[in-house]
Amino acid sequence: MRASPILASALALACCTSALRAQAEGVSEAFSDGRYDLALEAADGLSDPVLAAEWRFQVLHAAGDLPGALSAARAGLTLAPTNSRLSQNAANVALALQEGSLALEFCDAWQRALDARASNAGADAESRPAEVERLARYRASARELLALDAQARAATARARNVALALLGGTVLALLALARGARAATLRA
Amino acid sequence: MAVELAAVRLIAPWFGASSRVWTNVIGVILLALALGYLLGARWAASPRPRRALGWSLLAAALWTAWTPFLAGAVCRLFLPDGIGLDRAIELWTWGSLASTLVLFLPAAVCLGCVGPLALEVVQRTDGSSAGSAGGRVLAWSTLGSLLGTFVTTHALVPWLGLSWTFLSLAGLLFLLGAALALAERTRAAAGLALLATAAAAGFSRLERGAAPQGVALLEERESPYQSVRAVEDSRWGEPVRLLQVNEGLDSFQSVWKATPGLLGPGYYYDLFALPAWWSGARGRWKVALLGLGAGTACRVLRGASPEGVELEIVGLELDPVVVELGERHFGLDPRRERVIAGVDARAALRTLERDFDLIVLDAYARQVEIPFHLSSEEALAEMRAHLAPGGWLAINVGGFGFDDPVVAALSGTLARVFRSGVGYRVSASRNFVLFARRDGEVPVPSDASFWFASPVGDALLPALSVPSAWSRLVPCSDTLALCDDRNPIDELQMQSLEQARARLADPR
Repeated sequence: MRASPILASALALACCTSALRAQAEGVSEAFSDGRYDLALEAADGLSDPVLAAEWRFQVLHAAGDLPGALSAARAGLTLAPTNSRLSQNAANVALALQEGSLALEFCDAWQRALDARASNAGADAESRPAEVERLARYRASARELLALDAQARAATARARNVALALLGGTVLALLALARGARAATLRA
Repeated sequence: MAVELAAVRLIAPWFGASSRVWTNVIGVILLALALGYLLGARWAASPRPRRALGWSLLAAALWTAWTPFLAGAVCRLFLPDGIGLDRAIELWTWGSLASTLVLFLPAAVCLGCVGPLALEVVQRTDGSSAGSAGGRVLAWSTLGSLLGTFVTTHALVPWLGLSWTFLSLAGLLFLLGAALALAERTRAAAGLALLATAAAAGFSRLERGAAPQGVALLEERESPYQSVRAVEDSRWGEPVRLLQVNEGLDSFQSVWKATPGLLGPGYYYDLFALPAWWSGARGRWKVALLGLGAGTACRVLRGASPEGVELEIVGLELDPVVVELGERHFGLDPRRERVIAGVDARAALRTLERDFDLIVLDAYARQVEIPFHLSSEEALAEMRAHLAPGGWLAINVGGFGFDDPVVAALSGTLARVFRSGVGYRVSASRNFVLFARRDGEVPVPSDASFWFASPVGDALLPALSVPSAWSRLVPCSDTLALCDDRNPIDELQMQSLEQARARLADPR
């Protein structure tokens, strides 16, 4: 899993000051060189903690450390709850980790971010429909995972109830027969 | 015994054949036999125990004959399709218990009746004492169990398959029951049982759930050890072939892609190519694969080793059927690799040379369990003894973090044997590869020797370089070390999956 050039450029462009941009370029460069260890170190040194979280997510995701990437996205979202890029990434990783409830939570955060941007009409009029469609898809996948969880819970309860009922019935029958046999022996 | 052995195999496609499943099956059969003995004892007091004996055998035959037909529906009731490994852990215990009770309790109760009834019949027929009759009945039933044990494992299941194994056993029980029923002039019962058993012979087959769309079943076999199948998954673009055993779920034992070499993120086999690069290997590079499977590691090593390396691979695989499927569907070439099939890796290792540059331990019993005799300190020491100076041991282990019970126990034990080592988390997977070296150190990302310039390095090293992807192995204490005398690896595997399930239930 190597660097996504589009996301890397987007993250670099997100830096508003030249100092920050220089720092971010350091991260981007290490990342593009495949030195994810150095990219993480450089990301930790970024003066913008939200951007640092975005970069941490990007590097850890590319390294295949999905739980780590999720933690990074969550850390960023606590600082910037309406950051749609982070909530989208977090939802994506939560889905990959099969964590439906968490994915749904991030979809809600993403929805709130979209709603907040709606007041700033025109800013993303072109990309918005695709993003809305993607959000709906993620939400549907999260609901499927939750349905699987529910199915597994129901199957466990069913298995437990059937097993206990059959075991209980067998043991009772055994006791009844054993008692009957003893009574017959005593009568004899 | 025959029904008991085949019972585990029958439910294994859903619940596996772990020690928990075996315990459930044995427990249910023993409970059912106890109930059957008491029932038989009661019926033995009746005026016609021979007729009761005939009916018990006919009832057992009927239930046994229809068991394969019922198995799919019953097992799916307790383990619905689509449930992944993380969610299935609790279902393995409760689901296998419930399925065993529903599928095997009735037949085992009927078979339990046979002992006391047979004893009564013998005693009444020749007027012998209870001790004499009991001794003879027990001797013959034990010999029957012995025969059933060997014939089921070595002949019936591998040759006839599971459905016909059950039908054959049912046929035998039917013949015995029908003979007694006819002798007792209960022809109607024998006739009805004949009809039902004959119908079972026509319809009672073990049916698996249909493969998802985009997944094609290439071949399915019953081996002496497990249910094995090769499938081709084309859902994500490039076709990938997977070897699955028993319950399968979302896991696999071997994988094949059209081009030899690295398989990509998520596949631990790729990391087995690293030692040759880290060693700067040239010329002969001798590799032993303990747990060859269908030969995935061979294809990875052949396609991703440094130029100039002449690979000499010895592959050890316990299950010969896996090797057969490997040859047919996974590109395994026994003319090129030295394949030793049908032998246990630890036993066979003793017969091998002691100059391996790399030993790969990738042996899994059933689906998720590393065999205890291959994960002990003594076994790892034997592997170390078979390495050339500077040689490498690489172990694939499934887990959910470096603190996972299985990963931690095996890491600590490995470090006790080699004094050092490094574990690497496989990108986008729940696998770890533990590396240790005889008379040498395993490089970590802060070492210059970790980095090498090649497409293999470009593909693998960046993901391994982040701090969360690696950990130095630290020797564990005597009490935590896995050894031949005390090796709780089975329980650690269950703890690992239970922790993962708990994490799913509460991801915070």
